[in-house]
Amino acid sequence: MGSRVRSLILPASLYGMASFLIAGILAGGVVGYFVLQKTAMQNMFAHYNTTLNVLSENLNSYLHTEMNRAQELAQSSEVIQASQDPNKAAQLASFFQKKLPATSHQLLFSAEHHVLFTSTGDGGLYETNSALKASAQRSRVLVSPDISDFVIIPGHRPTLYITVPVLGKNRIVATLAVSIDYEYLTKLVSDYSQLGATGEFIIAQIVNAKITTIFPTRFAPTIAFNEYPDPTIQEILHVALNGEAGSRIAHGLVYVWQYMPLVQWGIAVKSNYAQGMKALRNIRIFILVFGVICLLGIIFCWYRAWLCLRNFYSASLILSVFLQIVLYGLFIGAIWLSVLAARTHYKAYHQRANKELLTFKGGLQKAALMINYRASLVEDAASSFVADSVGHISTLEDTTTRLQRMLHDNPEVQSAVYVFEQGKSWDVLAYTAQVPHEVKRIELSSEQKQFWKGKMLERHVAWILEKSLIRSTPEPMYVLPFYSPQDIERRTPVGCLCLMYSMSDMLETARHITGDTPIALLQQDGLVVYKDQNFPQVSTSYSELSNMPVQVNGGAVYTEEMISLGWYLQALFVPASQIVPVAYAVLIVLVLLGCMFLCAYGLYCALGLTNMRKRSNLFLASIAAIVVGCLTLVLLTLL
Amino acid sequence: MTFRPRLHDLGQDMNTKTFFFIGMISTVIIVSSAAVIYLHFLQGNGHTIRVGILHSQTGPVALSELPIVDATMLAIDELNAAGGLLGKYIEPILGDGASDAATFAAQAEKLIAKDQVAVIFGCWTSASRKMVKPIVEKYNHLLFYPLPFEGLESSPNIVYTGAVPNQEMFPGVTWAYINLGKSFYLVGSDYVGPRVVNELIKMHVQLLGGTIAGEAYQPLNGAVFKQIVQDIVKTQPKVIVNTVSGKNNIAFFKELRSAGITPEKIPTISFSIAEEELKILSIKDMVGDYAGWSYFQSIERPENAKFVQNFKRKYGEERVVSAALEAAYFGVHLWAQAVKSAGTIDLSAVRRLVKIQGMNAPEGIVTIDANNNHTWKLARVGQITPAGQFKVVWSSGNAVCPIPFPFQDKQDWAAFLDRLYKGWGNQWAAE
Repeated sequence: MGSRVRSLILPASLYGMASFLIAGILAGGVVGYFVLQKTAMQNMFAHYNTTLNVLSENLNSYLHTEMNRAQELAQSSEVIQASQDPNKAAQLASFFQKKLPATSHQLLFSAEHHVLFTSTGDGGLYETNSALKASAQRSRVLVSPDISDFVIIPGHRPTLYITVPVLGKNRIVATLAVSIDYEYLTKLVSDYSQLGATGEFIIAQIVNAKITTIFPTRFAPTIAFNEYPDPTIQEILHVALNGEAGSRIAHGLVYVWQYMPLVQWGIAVKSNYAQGMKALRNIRIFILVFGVICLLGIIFCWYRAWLCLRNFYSASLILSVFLQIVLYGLFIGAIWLSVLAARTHYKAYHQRANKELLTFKGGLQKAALMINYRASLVEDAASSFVADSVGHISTLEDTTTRLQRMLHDNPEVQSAVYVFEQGKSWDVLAYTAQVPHEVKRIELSSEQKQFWKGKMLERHVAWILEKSLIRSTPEPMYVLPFYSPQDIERRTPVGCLCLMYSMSDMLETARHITGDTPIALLQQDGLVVYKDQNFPQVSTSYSELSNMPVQVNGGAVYTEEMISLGWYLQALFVPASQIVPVAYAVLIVLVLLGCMFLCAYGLYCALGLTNMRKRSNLFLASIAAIVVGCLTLVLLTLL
Repeated sequence: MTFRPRLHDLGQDMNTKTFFFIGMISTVIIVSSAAVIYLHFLQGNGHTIRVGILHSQTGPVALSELPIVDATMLAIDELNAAGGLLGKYIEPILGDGASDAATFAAQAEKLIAKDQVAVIFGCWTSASRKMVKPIVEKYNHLLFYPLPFEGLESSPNIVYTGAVPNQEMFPGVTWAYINLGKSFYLVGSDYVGPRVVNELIKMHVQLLGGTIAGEAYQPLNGAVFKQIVQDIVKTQPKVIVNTVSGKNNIAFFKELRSAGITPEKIPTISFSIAEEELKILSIKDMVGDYAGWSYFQSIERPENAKFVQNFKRKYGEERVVSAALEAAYFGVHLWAQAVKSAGTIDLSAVRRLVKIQGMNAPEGIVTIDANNNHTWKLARVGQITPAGQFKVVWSSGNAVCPIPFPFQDKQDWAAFLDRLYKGWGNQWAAE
């Protein structure tokens, strides 16, 4: 009996698998089509960009050639002589006729803007035209050729001019203006060989504050020197004329645009989207036919499977199993949508948290930077003071004055202690500027003087010699020794300047940026210089201070190094809400568990494994549930 | 009688071991694939696009460079506020050049190799840029350099958003030649920038037919201008061309005014004093003098009004913006446009597409020149006003083509730079 069941079940299973395989191939084909579509779109944009680059290069190349020619003419003896002697200007007509095409128009005007020569006899052209005037002035100041905007005068053909300064005996004596062949430029912009049947170039310039199309286009031959009627194109030309390059698909059309800084033109390509994607049309038809064949194949497989199974199952049972599968699919779909929604929300939260962290890190960096900068000002003050002292022997009076001035000029320095050699003994001077710009001398007791002499010059002398600075707590200070000019080789200190940082200023600076975030300041050896009361207790050994944040309950402590000061600034980052990601994680896990349960249930129903007391059935369903659950996880990850 | 098996018997016929084996294998394969895909898509690509900002945060130049960091950060914030790039936020990584060219190079290497940034915005002095250039070229990376500088350089891995001499100095000098006088005295700090600029200005003045009354330099760490000012008084030029750097201008202008040289008698046109520098100088001594830049804070354009307003809102009403800040700001936006066009941060694609980028920047329409990676920029001359700003007295109107190697070819300029470098003891500034 069992072998008979297998002999019929096996072909049914094979047909079922074959149907899934066909469905998989079909799905692969559809995905492949969309990948191809994306690639084709990228290629289309790349092609139009290249076409625009070529056009831009052609135009630039032509204009540069014309500019070089105009410059050569401006440097010719004929033009220079005519510029200096108006009587010789009339001879220029024959000179230009030999050198330039008949369609070209030339103007020569003096440094005082008087027209010396004009090929048409119309001297008023220069006087009335602001574009030509502006270009002439620009070329004069930049001492290089310039191209004017389109000179549009009613009754005349719109013309572009190249203006070149004429240099005679190392001074600018005149400006030469030579017109550019508009017809040739039109020919250049009318080469549509790379644009297929529907593509055209649209080139615009701002004329009288209006975006004006300056050449006829393929499908609008009369558009030149008018506004393009299509608002989308106007919008694109506006972006192009703002210097930006880009591409867009809108209303079934593809637009690619660039900016030409040499002439301030916006150049754009417009083409039908369908034309660019022509190659995909055949593939789409093929996929359609292939899809129909696949569907027929699936129906055939299912029919054959049904033929195998109909002896074992009644039609109503098969229908019931089929309906259960559909129901199961709907269930999975609904759950899937829930998972997607949860994930989208989670991602949005994650992005917010990420931005919050970035802002926090930026603030921490900035605070560290500002503290460090203030500390470096103290160090600069000490260095300048000591540098001024070296090389000359100052009187005590002079030193006192300089010390007071330094405190007055450097609000970063809270107080200064100056230990110096006085005859054969040592003396100490101390000043403070707790109120900015109000310097007061501190009268030190003999014990305090002993402290400075003893602590600074006896206990730390080795350190001073080795590192040139000391930083200690709770009074952070910068200590700089200085040496006798005669004894500089031996580097025996003859005095020492200790400047106290203004700790409250430093903290205020940090708080100004970090706000209410709890902060701590640490030395390189991990010694805490300052710590807010609500700052968590974290390990502060030097080896553990790194770029990695230290996780604490409810947040993380980030560390920023202050290179010059050699300290660390730490701050506690607590995300706005701790509960949200946990809630989403729990939701996703619950949804996944539900998904797995329903998978098991669906498989039970689909296979008719209703005897739940049997271990093998339970095991089979569990494995299936795990597999489907993992698949769900993979798909989730991919999304 | 029709054979009809009991439904729950079907499972019994199947081999439990086979099912177990297939199930286990499938589970392992699927879970492994999921893990690999997760690592690749979520961790490998990251949730942010890292960009490096490389400027001095410490040392003597930090005061000048920190505002550039602010302008760069403003542009990044604007992009992040608009949703980031390619669906990711931009994460700035700060590198500290510590006012030292060698540190700049080391930090650039760290940003590229360790932090894996997509681009670097940075450098200040030409010395720092020249040290970073071989690093970005070695890694075939991308640097946006925002400072107006002496030119004579072009690299496929550097986008220069600052002006070169033919876009700022030449128009400024020509304008001064036409409007102020034909005899020039050149004063500068003794490092590569002013040396090259003044060499070019000499050639340009010769072309115009003007004369050079004198030329003098002071080391960067020296502020003794008495001798120079005495020479100016003696030679009586019509215009002083100033390329003295930073705080040294305080001493220079103090000496000028002490010697009775006022803008009415001998005007100065500076190529090293912008709005930031005016804040540390005595305005009453400066009013009436000129400067040549591509951008001034006072330009009346809606794009500029928005830029100035956003900058002040973020950093304080007392803050000012200058040409270098503006170039740093639009540099970030140009890079972002290239990334958007490419649809990726892949360097080869971005480098290719950045060459066709342009935008309506606060100064006007700027465009990258595909031939040399420099920027088409506007040229302007401004006169210092009592409010500590510049009144624009001349503008080119349209962007000017960048010519990084004017008058001579690359080889001649390379030889000139080599002479300077060796003359200063294998460094880019005099001691």
